[in-house]
Amino acid sequence: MRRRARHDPRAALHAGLGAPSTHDAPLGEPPERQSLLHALRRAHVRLGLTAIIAAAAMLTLLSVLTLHTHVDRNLALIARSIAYASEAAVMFDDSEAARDAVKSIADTEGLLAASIERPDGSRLAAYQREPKRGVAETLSEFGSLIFQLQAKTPVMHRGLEIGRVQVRGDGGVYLMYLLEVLAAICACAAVTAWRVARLSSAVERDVVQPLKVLASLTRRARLARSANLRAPPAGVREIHDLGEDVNALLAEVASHEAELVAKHDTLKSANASLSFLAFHDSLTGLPNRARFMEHAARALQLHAARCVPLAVLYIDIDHFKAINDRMGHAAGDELLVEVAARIRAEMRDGGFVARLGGDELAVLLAPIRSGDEAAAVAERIADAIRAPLLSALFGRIEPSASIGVAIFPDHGSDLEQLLAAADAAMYRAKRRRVGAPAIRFGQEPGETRAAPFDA
Amino acid sequence: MLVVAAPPSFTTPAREPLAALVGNLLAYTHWPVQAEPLRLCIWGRDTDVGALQASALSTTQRKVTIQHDIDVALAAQRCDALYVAASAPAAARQLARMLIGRPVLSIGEGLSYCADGGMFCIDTRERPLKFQANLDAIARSGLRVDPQALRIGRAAGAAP
Repeated sequence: MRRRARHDPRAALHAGLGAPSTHDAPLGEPPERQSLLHALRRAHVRLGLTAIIAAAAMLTLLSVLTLHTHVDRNLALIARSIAYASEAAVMFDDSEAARDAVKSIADTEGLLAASIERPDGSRLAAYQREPKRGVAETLSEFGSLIFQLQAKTPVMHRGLEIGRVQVRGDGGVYLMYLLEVLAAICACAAVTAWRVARLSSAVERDVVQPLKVLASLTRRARLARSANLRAPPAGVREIHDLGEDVNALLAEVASHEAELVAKHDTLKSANASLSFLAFHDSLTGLPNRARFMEHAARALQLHAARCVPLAVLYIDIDHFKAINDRMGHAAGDELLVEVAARIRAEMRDGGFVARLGGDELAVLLAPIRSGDEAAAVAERIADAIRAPLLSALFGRIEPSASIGVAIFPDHGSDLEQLLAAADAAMYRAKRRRVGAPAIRFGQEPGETRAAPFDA
Repeated sequence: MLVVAAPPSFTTPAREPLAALVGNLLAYTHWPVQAEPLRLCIWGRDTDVGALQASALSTTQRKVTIQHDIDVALAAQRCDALYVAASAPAAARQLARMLIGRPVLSIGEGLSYCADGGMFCIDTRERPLKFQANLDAIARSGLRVDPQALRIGRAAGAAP
């Protein structure tokens, strides 16, 4: 039954690890689990068989012993009857009368054979039953062969033995009895088997099936992650209670899950808004410095590996402080929003616009084909910002911006250098003379100190 | 002639069938008063007295005295049983009729003895020996004869 696990690497591993094993299979796999129904049925069958065999063995033994005693006694009694009946015949040595006496008794008692002998051993009378017919004779012959039923008794007259009676009983009676016992045992076994089958099916219906239903329910609930399944009512109280408990558990899980989902949704939206707030400027809706640094670092890492150029533009609104001071913060804010919108409008090729803080904005162009492309974008941005702004509240504002451009890898090999180059270029642009171009390019890292004030 | 013998301690097969039969008849007969010893009177010269005595001893288990050819007139007082051989004198053969109603067992040779009032008559010509019982005489005598023995003997057809 149990598969030998000599070639099973898992078993070897288990054995090697000293895994606990059953006593009858020291190197075997973990024991095969039998089904509940199987276990119960086997228990029922064993119980039934044991009961039948024990009862049948004891009863057969007892009854055979009793029967044996009884038959022996009966046979002895018959022999004595013949002895009494034939006493005178033996005394008078009358074989005809002796034969009559023997026959009359032997016939009624169904003896197989009977005989009367004189003291010297010669035979006075003998009786032999006429053979029966068919099965009865076979049974009788066979039974008499197995069970030697005989009795001897002396014929007495005034205390002296004058002859001897010998009788042989019909063993077929015994055999018939044993066959009847066998038939009874078979009948008992059949009845027990029937009852066991009924019991098993009842157990299957009342216990195993509900348990299977429950098991498949919990499995489905687990696989489908659905806590909305419910166990049906069961006939057996314990199983019903179990089902109810599972239902309660599932209901609890469902409510917990709903609660969790709600909490999760809340957290998710809170997280999204928090994350947006963390990485975006609330006024313009542009990504903030942190977001820009992160994005730029990632882009640089990506493009540096492939030696693709990219550009960082620093844009500073000119005279922003003055506008703020003269017209109020609201006007400054409106200007910032407008400038941000204009820059964003120019970003057709996926440039990344961010507000670094105050009036300082930045654009990441990645990738670019050449420095000229970056220059062209910077030019467009500068032109876009220069258009006058007509505010409903604050009237006409004519903004302008200073732009510093740094190109990787020309003006820096890492982000820090690039940003510093762009920042420096932007400051140079800010210090320009009136009418000079508002765009400056970064310098080679070495150049920075050589010409700090090129403007 | 008077012979007294102690009963033998074991059964000996009858040496002579006639003697054995007489012994058996004595054995199956019960007297109203059991005389000790049993007095058997025999008539007839050719009788094997020794065989008869041995047989009677062995079957009855009693002391037996045998009186051979005594005076017929004394028989009523001195005999418990009579054995009348075919060769016995006519007076002896008539004795049975005279003793009717008295507890004296009468056995005789020849079937005609039952017609003469004898209780048991033995057909000596047949082998094995056959005997008949005169149930009427037995019933009147006051003797009790075991029915088994009566069954062995064929009831005398001539008996009244």
